[in-house]
Amino acid sequence: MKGKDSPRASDDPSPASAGPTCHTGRRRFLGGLGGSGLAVAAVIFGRSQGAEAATIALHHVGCCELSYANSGRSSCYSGHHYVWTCGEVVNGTLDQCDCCEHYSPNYSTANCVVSP
Amino acid sequence: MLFVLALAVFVLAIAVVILFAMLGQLAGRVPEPEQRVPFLKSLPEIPLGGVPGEWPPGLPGRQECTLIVLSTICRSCADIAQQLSAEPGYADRSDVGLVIATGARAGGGEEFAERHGLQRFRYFIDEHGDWVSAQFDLRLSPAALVLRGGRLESAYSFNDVAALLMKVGEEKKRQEEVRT
Repeated sequence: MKGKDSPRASDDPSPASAGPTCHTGRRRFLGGLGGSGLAVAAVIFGRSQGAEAATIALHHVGCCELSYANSGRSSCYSGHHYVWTCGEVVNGTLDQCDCCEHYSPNYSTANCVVSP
Repeated sequence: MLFVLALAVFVLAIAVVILFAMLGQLAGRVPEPEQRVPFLKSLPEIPLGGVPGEWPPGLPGRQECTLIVLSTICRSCADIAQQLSAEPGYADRSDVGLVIATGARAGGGEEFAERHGLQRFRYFIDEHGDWVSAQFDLRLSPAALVLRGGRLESAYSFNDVAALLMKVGEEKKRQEEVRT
């Protein structure tokens, strides 16, 4: 604490002369602490947007969660494709969708039947 | 000195306002909890009484278990997965297993389990749903298959895990009463 370039502090260690230096140091410390806290908060809150963007973009059609954008029925159902049925309860009735995914090229589509 | 104190109070006041603004922003991102009306319906198209030929590793014993069938391609399955992960007691049940059918995209099953916190469950990643469709003729999710004595006893479409497990428990109790 007693640096060579501060002869007053080293020559006179009385509390009266040490007070302002101590207060300045404390203020700087607290200021630094507050600034760091704000910076950490900014990083944490700022990151949530990025995390959302990092997840895989899925395409919702009815109760289907499709890997690829809706391409239409004819493209998806031709060739090597995969169909799975999902069910979702809407107003007490079970609505169903046939979710189609075409392997290559990548197509998806959904064919939904809404209960009467 | 007074000026410094006034400045500090002013900065603190601004910090509090920012804090409340951030809390408000976070609260806005949390979706409103929906009032779910439990739905449970038998699937008459699924043939009952069958004995599965193969039994994949990772699932509970086939003698008595409830298999919850989910699919990566099914958005309503995400809601079921959320219910499952929200209640830690479900994963501790030795008679509950998950079958996660995958879509066309490779590796989606593990990603689904990880995304919804289902790693603690007994589960089987069923590539393209081949196993569950071959053994039980089921290509629908979310669904539940209840096995007793190694045979398929009932199959349901459902939207509420608690209601499903309550129904399964009631059925079991009823059967035990009939036997005694």
